Amino acid sequence: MSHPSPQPPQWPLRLLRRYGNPELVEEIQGDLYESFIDRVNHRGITYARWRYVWETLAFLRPASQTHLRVHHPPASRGELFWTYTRLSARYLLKHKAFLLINVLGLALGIATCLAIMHYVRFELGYDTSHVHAQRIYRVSTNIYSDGSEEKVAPAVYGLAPTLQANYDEVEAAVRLVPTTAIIQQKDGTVASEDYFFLADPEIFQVFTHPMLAGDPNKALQRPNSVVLSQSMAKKYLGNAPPTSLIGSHLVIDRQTYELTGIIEDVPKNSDLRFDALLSWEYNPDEWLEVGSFTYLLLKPDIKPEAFAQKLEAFDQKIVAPRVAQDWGTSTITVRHHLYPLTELHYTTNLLGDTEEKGNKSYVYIFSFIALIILIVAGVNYVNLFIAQVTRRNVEVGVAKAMGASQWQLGWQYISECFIITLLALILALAIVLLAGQIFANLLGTPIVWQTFLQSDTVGILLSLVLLISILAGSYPALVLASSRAVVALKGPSFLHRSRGRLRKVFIAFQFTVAISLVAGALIVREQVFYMRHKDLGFQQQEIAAVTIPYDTDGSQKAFAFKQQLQQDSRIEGVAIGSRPDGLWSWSSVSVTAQGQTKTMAANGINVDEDYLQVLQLPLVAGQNFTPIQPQQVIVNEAFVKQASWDDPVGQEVVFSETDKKEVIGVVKDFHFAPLHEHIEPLILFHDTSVGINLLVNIAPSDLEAIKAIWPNFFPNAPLEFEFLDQALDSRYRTEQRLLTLFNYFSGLSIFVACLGLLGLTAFTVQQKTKEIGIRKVLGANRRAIMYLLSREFAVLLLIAAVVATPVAWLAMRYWLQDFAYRTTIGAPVFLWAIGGVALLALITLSYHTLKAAATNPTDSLRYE
Amino acid sequence: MKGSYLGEFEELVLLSVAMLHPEAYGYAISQTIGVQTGRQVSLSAVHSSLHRLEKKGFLASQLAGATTQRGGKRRRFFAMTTAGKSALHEARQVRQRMWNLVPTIVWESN
Repeated sequence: MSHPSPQPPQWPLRLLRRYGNPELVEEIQGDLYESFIDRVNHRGITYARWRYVWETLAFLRPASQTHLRVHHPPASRGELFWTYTRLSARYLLKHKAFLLINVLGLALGIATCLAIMHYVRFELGYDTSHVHAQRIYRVSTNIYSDGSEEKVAPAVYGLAPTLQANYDEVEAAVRLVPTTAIIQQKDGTVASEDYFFLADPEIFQVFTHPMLAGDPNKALQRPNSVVLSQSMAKKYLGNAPPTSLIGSHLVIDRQTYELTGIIEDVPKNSDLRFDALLSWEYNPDEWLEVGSFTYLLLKPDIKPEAFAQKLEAFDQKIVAPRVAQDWGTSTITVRHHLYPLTELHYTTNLLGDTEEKGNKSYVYIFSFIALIILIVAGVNYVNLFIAQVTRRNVEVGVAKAMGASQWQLGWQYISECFIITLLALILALAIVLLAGQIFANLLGTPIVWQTFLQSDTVGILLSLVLLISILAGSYPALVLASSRAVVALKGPSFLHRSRGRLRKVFIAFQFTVAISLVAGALIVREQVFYMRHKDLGFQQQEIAAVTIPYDTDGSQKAFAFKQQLQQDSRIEGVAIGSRPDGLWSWSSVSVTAQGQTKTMAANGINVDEDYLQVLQLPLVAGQNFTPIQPQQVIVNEAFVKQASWDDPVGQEVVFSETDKKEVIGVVKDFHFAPLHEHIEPLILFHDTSVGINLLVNIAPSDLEAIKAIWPNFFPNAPLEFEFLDQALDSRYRTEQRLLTLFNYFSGLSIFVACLGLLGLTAFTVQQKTKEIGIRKVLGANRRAIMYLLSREFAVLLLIAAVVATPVAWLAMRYWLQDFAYRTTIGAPVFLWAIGGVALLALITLSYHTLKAAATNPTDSLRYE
Repeated sequence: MKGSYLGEFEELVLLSVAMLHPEAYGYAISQTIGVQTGRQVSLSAVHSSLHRLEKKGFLASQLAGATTQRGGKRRRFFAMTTAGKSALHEARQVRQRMWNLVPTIVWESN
């Protein structure tokens, strides 16, 4: 041929090649080409081209597909991933309600977990920021006297210097003494600060407190040096850069201090929080006053157990003789104990300890509950996902008929799960951040988003997402994807019967958790209510406890102030004394009953003669103090009981050889300690020299009466007071927090369980559409249909109630053991919990069942 | 005898294969049908039919070597099997029988 032969258009062929079996395509191509050439010769190029396109496309008709044997080239893994992701996304967007329920439920579960994780991290992270945290120990003091034991957090002032001087194991020792400081502000007024500590210069050797300005090695060396925290420096010295503030002067407790350092604020999760450190020099050679928190930094290779043994020897050889000499008695033994710094936050029951203590068991309880919530949300998610997936039987059937492998289908479900889980995670993060303030109030720790960027958190979150997707996705991946195409195509119930039991177990589990948590919340609520409303045995309403500023003549001034206040008609009564809700001291005393002398420990408070009357403490025997007899005491009933006195009035309480006091009255027992504890023996001393408050019986609206004359007596100190009823409420803060958390948890678990129920009823109703239609045609009324649909769930609820009741009862009884005075767990709590949850469940159920029952049978029978 | 049923178009295809023996392939068959019936037949219809007939066992096929004629593409030659032959015969006999049973009057009246 002289000229190049005309060519047919190529693009239709590409389509053909893509979908056709290569072997067949070749002969078809040949035929098409031949006919094209023929047509070019006979009818011209244009017509030939047009026909060529037409005929080629005709091969793509479904009718031609059978002989073309449609052929899919093997896809690469990446392509598969995107294909299935796309399919999943399409499906999910088509079922938005399902997606919403699933994502929301899971997100709430994850959000709870995140918040709790944050809380747990905070709680377990106490004092771990110090470089030497693992080598720091606090020495606390145990004082034994004839069978009674008192554990006191601080140690005597002489201990730290002695240990440092005599033991090689001790790298450094530091004493810290809390003090309430009056600090002069720029405008001349005074403020009072509670978190100032006197500290030895070694503090910076032992602890790690990053310094913004100043030299940690020299900061507290010179007398009258002060180190402030960043926020204190800002408060008293303004916003100037830290370095420029060094050398400024501050008047603290009427002495001038020089600022030698500014440290970063002490982290909130520290057992030893302070706002300022004041230098001091006090090395007394006496072993009486137990007043300084003593911390030791042991050398790196020293085993604490070994050093504890040396400490015991030291107690026996050195301390014992000194105690005998200084205290004038040999019946008292002093032992020193080492507490690891990182454990101090959980070390309770030490007198005079630093910060509010944590409760490790609450950390575990919360973690456990959070885990349960997560499991419930996860179970719910899996359950809904499976229910939803079984509706996609046609899709599965078609995919299988088209030759999709089990692996491919399985992958699709897992990737779908992954998408939802990821969405839920993102939503959860948003919830946690938005509700950050609520969580902060709830858990006592603020939440910041940086928390979630930490590598371990990211790791945990990602593995969580993966785990959930695999768990939820693997069931449909394994079961559904392995089913045969024909079975899958047969109907939506093909899997229903075989897996119904698992789904029921899931639902029952969710409601068991919900009922248990609701019952738990109700019991905590009852206990908190009980504690807040129990008659403590003394007047709490309208009693203001006014702090007497520390002063050399504070006691005299307090007396004068009291007299002045008594003149005011708005004030019902005034007493000077220790607060009835805070212990002032304890003593080891000996008493004699029926000819036998025994030693016992007793708490003590200092009171004046008006104390009983103002606080309305009734005497059961004897009489009140008269203004002139300091050698008398009043005891409580518990004391009498423990002393085994038949006739307490006139008995003698022996404090030491030289200090004996006569019992002149017995006061009715009252709860001076929180209700966790039983009422212990108590001695009321007629002493107003130390540890006192002014207890004023006044209505909160009349406070002006005190405020007006306060500066006349204490011009250099701010007025500080607290109403007893409010103060007492704050005693049970831990329980209140537990209650709030319980409320939150139980609400959440109900919500998630109901979400699950909602999804599943929708599913059940859909499955029974035909049955309902037929029943209606045969004359079933609405109630019968409701019954039909709810019956199964009602049984599950019943099972959940039966399981939850003993579980919650046992757990809460265990919790209540912590309280010496506690509410009783009655049946109503459980009835309320079960009834409430059941009601919510029924309302949830009715959303779909009502709709189903109201449907016109012609519509439901037309279905499919 | 569902399996051996021959559609009208299938019968034409089968006959064409017989006519063109031994060089019956897609395009030639569609040409033949076109020439003989005056209808325009699409290639894809012919191919569908050919493969269906092959599946039914009436045809056998074989790929021949490439020629320059068709842009280097090989063609598939079809040949009738015994089953194909008897199916054609059968179809023809059925028609013949039915023809014979038509009363003459039908043809005579208009």
